[in-house]
Amino acid sequence: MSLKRKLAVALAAVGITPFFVVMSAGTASAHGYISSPPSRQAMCAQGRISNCGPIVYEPQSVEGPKGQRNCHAGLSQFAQLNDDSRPWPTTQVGNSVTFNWTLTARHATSTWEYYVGGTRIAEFNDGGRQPAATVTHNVSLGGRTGRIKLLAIWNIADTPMAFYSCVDLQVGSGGGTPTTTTTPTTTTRPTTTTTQPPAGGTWAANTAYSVGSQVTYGGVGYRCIQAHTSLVGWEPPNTASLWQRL
Amino acid sequence: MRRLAALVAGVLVLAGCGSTPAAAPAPAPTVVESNEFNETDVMFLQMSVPHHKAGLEIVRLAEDGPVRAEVKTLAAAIEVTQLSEVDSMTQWLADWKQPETAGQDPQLHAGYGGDHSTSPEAIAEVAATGSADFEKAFLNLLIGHQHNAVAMAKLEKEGGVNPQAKELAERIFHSRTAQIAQMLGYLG
Repeated sequence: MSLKRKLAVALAAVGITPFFVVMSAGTASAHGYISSPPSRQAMCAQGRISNCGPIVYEPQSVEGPKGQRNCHAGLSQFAQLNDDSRPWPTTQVGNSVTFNWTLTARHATSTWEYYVGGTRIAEFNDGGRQPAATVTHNVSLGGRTGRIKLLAIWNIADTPMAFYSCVDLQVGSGGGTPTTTTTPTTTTRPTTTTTQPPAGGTWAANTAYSVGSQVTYGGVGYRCIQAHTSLVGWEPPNTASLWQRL
Repeated sequence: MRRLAALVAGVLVLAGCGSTPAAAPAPAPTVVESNEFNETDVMFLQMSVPHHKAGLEIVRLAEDGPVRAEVKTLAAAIEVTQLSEVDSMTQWLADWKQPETAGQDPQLHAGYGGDHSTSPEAIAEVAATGSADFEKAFLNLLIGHQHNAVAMAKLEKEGGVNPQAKELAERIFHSRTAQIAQMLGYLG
């Protein structure tokens, strides 16, 4: 169920008429984007490119009327996605690429389209069905080589809206070695650096802590009781399930 | 009435997929707790409790599933932290004498497909995925689920008044965003 509908239920429960459901009828409640190979919004959400603006918190929201041929659905707040002059990282691929979508609502779907330049290189017709829990498409790049910008469009069946994802690819010159559905091993991706903690140091985000690791946070000592890579939002005073105060 | 208007305005922003640039300050480790609350606080908790529980079902798929060690570690850490958050949220709702979920009347949910943004069917579908594709399906389902948690937390951050619920929303907003970044990295 969509967040919007959940809000309607929740608002009804507290005695508020969910009139916005009526107001917004006809707009898509579905959301989604290509998670791998990482689309531009996925690159932003991962922090592999900076200064992306609000898209980092909602890469699934690049939604606009159907029929556009851009990376940002025409939305000014997401205009960075359509700026080809930015240093978008590429993913190394072969001629056959498996595109994976993350969906936050599984809305009835007409088609999934893939464009390179002005040419549609693939289309998958779902005939108005609800997509599966996860969506994967195998697309042939038709022998193209070098750096390409691919535009993928998720067309919703019962609304005028679509979701837009651009993916920057570096297509290998090997040719004839289609990748399988497993993760490509040739990807040159600088993942978020995970550091090993210095013994007894100050707590830091993006650090792999094992059970028994000790840190200080705000002058107080803590011992790790559940192995994890630390995150902003998982500070020791807030997570008694991860950290025991000493 | 102004409070209601603000609430609905917040809902409309969320529903319309609009967004405002959000600063990312480090969450305050302590808040002065209060029993003051508004409709948004109640709605946030009533939606988050079942959403968290669905999240627990998802992350438990990784316990015995064919995933890499780092994915298993993240799933286990998400499980214990969300269990703890559910305890806090149900306690606050009890303290405020509010029901744990949004309405006991099945009519409220009729036509809305239940009260979970990630359906049991979707979770079962990923659970049944073959080992070659399991990790990818698991990560994509969990990423999508946590995106919805971020959206709900944003609503509370903007429209709630209860200090401890807003502080939890702040932590959910940032920790889920960081979890998503980690998981996108695992997807490659």
